[in-house]
Amino acid sequence: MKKLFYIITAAMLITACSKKLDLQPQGVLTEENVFKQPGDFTLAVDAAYEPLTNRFRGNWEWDNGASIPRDFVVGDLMSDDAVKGGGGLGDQEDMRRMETFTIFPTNNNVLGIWRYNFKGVNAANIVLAQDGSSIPGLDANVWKRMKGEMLFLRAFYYFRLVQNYGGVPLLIPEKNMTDNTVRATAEQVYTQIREDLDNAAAMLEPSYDAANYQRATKGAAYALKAKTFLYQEQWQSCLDEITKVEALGYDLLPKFADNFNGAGEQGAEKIFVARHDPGQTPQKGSIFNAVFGRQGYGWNFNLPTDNLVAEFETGDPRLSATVFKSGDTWFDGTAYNPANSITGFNARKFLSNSSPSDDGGIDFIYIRFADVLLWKAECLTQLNKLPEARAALERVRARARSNAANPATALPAVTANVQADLLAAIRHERRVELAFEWHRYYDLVRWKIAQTVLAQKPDADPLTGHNDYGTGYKPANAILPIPQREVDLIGLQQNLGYQ
Amino acid sequence: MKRLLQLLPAFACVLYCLPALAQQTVTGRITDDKNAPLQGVNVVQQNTTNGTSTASDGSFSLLLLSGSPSNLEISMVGFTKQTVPYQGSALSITLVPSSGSLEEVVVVGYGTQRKSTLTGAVSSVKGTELAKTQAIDIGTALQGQAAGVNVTSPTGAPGTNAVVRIRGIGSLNNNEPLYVIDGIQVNSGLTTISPNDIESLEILKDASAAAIYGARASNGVILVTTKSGKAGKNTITVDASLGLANAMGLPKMVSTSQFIELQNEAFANDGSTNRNNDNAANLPNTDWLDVLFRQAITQRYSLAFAGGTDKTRYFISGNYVNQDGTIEYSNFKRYGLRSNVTSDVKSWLRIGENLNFTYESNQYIGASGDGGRPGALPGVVRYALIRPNAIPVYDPATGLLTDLPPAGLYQNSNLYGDGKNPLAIAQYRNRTADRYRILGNVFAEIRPIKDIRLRTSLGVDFNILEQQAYNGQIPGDRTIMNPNDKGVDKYRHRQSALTWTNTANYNHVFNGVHDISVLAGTEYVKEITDYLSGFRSGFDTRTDDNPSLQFLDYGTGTQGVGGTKQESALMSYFGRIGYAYDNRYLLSATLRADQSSRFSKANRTGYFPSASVGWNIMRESFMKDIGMFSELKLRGSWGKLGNQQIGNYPFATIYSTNNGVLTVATQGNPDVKWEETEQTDIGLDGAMMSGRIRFSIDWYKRNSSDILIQLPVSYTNGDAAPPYVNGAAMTNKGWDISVNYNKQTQSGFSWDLTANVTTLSNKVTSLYKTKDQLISAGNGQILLKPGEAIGSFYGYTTAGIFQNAAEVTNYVNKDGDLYQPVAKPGDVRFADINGDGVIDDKDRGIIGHGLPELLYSLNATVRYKQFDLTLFFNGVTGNDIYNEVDNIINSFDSRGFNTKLDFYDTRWHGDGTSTTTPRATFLDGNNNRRTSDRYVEDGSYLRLRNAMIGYNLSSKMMGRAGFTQARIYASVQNLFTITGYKGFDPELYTNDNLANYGDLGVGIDMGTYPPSRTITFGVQLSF
Repeated sequence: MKKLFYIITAAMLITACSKKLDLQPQGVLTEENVFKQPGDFTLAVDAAYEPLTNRFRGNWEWDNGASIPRDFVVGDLMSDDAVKGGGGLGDQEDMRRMETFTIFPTNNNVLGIWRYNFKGVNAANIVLAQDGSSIPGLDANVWKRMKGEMLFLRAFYYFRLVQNYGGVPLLIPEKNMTDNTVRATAEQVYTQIREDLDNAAAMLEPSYDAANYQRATKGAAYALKAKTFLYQEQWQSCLDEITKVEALGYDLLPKFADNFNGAGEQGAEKIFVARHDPGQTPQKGSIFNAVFGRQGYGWNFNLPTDNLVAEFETGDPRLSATVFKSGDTWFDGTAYNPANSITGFNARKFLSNSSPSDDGGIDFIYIRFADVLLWKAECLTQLNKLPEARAALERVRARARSNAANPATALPAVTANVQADLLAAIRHERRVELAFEWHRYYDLVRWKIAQTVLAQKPDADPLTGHNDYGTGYKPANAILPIPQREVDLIGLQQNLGYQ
Repeated sequence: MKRLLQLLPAFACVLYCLPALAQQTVTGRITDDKNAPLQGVNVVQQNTTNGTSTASDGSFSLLLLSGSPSNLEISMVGFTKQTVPYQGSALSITLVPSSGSLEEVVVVGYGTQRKSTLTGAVSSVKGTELAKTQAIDIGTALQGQAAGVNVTSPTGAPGTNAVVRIRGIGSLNNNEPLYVIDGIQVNSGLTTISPNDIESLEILKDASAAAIYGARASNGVILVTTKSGKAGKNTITVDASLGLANAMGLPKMVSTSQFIELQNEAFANDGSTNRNNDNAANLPNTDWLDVLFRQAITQRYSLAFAGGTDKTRYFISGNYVNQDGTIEYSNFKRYGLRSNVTSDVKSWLRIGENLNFTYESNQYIGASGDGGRPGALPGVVRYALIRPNAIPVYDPATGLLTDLPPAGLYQNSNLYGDGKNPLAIAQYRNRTADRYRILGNVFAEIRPIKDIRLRTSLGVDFNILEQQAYNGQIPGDRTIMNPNDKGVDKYRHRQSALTWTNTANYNHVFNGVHDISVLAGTEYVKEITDYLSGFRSGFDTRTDDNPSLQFLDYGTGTQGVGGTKQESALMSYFGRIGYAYDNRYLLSATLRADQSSRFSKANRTGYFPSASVGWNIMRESFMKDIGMFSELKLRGSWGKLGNQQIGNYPFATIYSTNNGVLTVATQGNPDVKWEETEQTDIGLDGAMMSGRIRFSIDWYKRNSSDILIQLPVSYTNGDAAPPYVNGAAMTNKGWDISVNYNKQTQSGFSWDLTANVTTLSNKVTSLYKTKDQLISAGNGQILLKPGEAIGSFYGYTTAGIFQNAAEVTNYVNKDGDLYQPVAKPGDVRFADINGDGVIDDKDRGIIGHGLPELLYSLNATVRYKQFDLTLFFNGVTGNDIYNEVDNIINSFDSRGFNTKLDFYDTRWHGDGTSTTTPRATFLDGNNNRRTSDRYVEDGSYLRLRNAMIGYNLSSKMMGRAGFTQARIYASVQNLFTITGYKGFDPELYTNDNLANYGDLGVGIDMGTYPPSRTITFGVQLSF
């Protein structure tokens, strides 16, 4: 009896041990089995694109910079084009602090822009650390394209970082640069960006099939490189890259509005876009119908100012493609009610009638050919080649004119033959052509006119958003503060004026 | 063989007892040492099953079987067993109670031990004390009951678990003690156990007591023993009570006219010509807290059957609790059924089972934090606090609950904020979580020979957790949802934990003085959680007000499913040796070896030893003449404990394919190993004045090392969760003191006073790469830094308010530069702490501590004849609270949110008007609201947690009604609180926003579900 008990116990114990303790994670990939199939590479490459899309950012951690993309807060809200809007004066208080220039390093928009661009950098680095050439089934040309895409995206994210923060830590594992605690200089970041873009351009194709149209192309690499020169005021170098872009056959869409309503998706004007497909599981649509949609339909953020609306010339057809105003019809067929917006306007570009509202299908455009033509006009003007500059400008205006109700009178060709006048005309053109494409604030800073345009205004009215730049732009606001979280965690040096 | 031995006396009897064949009836009366009759005493003829029990007057009558000895065995729990020979005349027997508390038996890990031989620090709490508190869950019931145990009820929401911490905080991860209920390890769901069902709780505080649980013991162990039947007494017990609860500590907010006055003052302060020109008299003046809170009713019923014979004992009970929360739409229900049976089926074999079925349904609302954490519900309390009085509850135009301020009422509705209607959120965004649970074990115990006991026990804790939520249109909400915006989410988690324990016990006293006990055992624990979830969108408008349509099947839009599994296993071997010489010198040593699946092969095994000594000083001959003490024992122990309460796979780097992209979700670290805590304890137990005063004093020190940290890493390295690293070390030390005084007077008074005092000092001694870590919850920030306690608040130090422009211009550094160039009169002056001539983020420092330094409680019971009165106080001191919610409601928030009356009364509005509270401003260029000591308050409190008066029916009256016990009582919980804290409730722990950061967020108040003052009436009947 006793013996039997001991035997049974001992037997059961022996079977119980060792092997039963080898438990591995279930239903997920681990380093044991990841990056063994071509599909893993495809998904990891897609992961590097994700931070530039306008998909819902995984969770509602507003304070940690998640929830929605924040780039419009700088590009549009901090400029004279738009005011915050939303549910009330204080809905998203940190956005209001941005647009009124009471910007503290703890601002969650500052953190969000930092976080998602670095997320992109790291996602690209993960793929670049793999060796795809030894994976059965992964085509050598595809692997080459993937590496090119990753180099392009790393450059893309670093450009946005250097635009927003100045010098940032450079994480380039293949050069053993992995220390995240040291800020490189802005010049070093630009140098790395151009090196990555040169390598990328050599690996990328000029275009892809319909299933892959969103991937970085040779043209995107040239265009982005041109933009880096534009921001560093190296006009001729910028023009050299633009020449390479033009050689690839980009063109303006016949209809301006088709860039933003879905009709011109994959059209010849698009150089680099964030792709959004509605109705997918998991969701791949854009959240902007929810963020910018009118009150009742969305959250009513990013409202156009009367100042922007006034910038449009009489008869400019681009106005109705850019803003909703009294007398317009909302996507669902109901009359647009200006009373629901403190400015009387709502933003229109990239919005559609999606269901659910956070699953919009319109691609967001990062670089389009009209933007490049205006760079070209600007560079040529700076180099005092005014006739060529006018020609580039005219291409953009001509397309708009052709869309006008009365092309005979609308948008006459610019005839300015003094450098400063032509520059002013180009600046005007950029504002109306590219409103709500996140360029305006960066342009104002780049042109060094932010201080005059965005000064504290005596007639400011925070209740309508009219001229409400709070305490006004200060030179330190040319770049954002380094997020306090990163200063505290890794000891990064704070930008001047934000200590 | 054994049975043969037992048969022998029977044969002997047959041979010797033949002359006494004539049947006899024995009668008698049994009393206690005070000559009071004892009811229910077992009277059994020796060597037979022939027995009876005494009536209420203590009398018995038993017909003796012929052929067996005429000796009677007299026994009753709590009294020393006697064997009395029957010699023909009526018996008068006096039973002597089992001697004092040091002879009590205490439940320890895998067994029991006489209290006099105990060398570890163990606190015992009787079930009756727990039941008195009227708490719904055992954690809350434990508050203040034992020294060294810090219990916090973090919110007043129904059905929330209390936070229990034993001797401080030793980990940055999970600091929950290990709960072992009737031998089964339990990780969660303590709310399913009714305090009424508990016989006793044992808290194993030091290493010598806890180390037998090895890798899971570093946070202490709580052993729960549930009630079981007692031989000879068949009783039926009915309990019923009704409680009425009202929220307490709600702040006063400004009226509509004060709100408008403040806004116009702010516009003027900012130099703006804008004004809020609304006339307050024409606007509502809604008290949103009043709208949200209600008087709530708690009902509790339980019915228990208990009893048994010498050989078989049973206990069957059922209980039902229905607790409404003081916030609308919150409710907790529990239905429980318990049964246990043990039977001595053979003289050498005992078997038993213990089963607990519960169904729990918790309708909860978001009430802690601001809903900022993913998956958290919006915090209705916060919404009630921030919503201006000027907004009506219902929109006058539509009759629906308001959302945004109805535009028609105001000249500019933007000025009244964009907060949600808390009542609408409570009604349409609550969740119901259901838990179905089977908790129980079966066991067999064999005594193959004297002194040896073999036991095997198979325990299971099986849970099904379910939640279904419909996210639909809130009538009147600003956002109109189309069908595809609406959806149903459902999940079902199946958790099972299997514990298989085998132990062998040997116990023998050699030569009357050498008491040796040996325990050896093995244990296998396997936990599996299986997750299944689904969602579907596409619900028509009918669904919004028709709960019967709010199911996955009715949706027409996109759908998705999810599922995975988590597993862990623990294989353990353990042993304990105890030796006592003459009950005077005591030694004990334990060792446990644990192998855990949570670590990679190389680090899988951990060894956790302990050793302890004890000295019963009163047994020394030299103490005989010292009459001051009746008992005195000195104890000392040392041991090493582990903590493995981290994720299941910290060694593996896990990739996610969610959202159709491949990303690193969590970084792994194959080098991860156990957290270890070394604990030293020195204690003294004693009794004075013949047991009228009892005390227990312990000093302890816990050194925790290799603490696993996974702290927020820089986003510069991407979004993946960082790996766990064995990086930090922490120390906790302090004193646990418990003193009891009890006295009975001749006139019928009896007193019983217990005081517990706990001191606690926590310090982080080192951190991974010695890097300070900062964690944020809203505006509150916690700094984790070597040399400081956990829960240290971090921020700027204020130095008053600038009273006028001259004070701003005079606030300059040594070079004459303005410290705060953008400040205006009425703004906060910040201190240049590091003296570098500028005020910047380097001037932040530690501005408060969230952990209390001293906890105390007093539990006093006075009885007089049929009446009893209990007063139970508890308090903490030496802690601060970061009043994060005041950053909005006590600071003038530019978002048009509501403000506390306190701000209105104390704000700066002109030279000399305030030195503590800044001006109202929309712009706040000075950032007055930055994290600073403005929001740090003293968190000390003293609370009369329970005051109870009871009346027990006299035995005469009960006899007539057929009861053996009948009691009615009334009690008030939280009758008063003495505190200087201006927030809701000084009793708080961490907040929902930092729920993923263990105890790091302790003391940050983001607005909680407030506690309530509850009046309870109850009745207890036994028959």
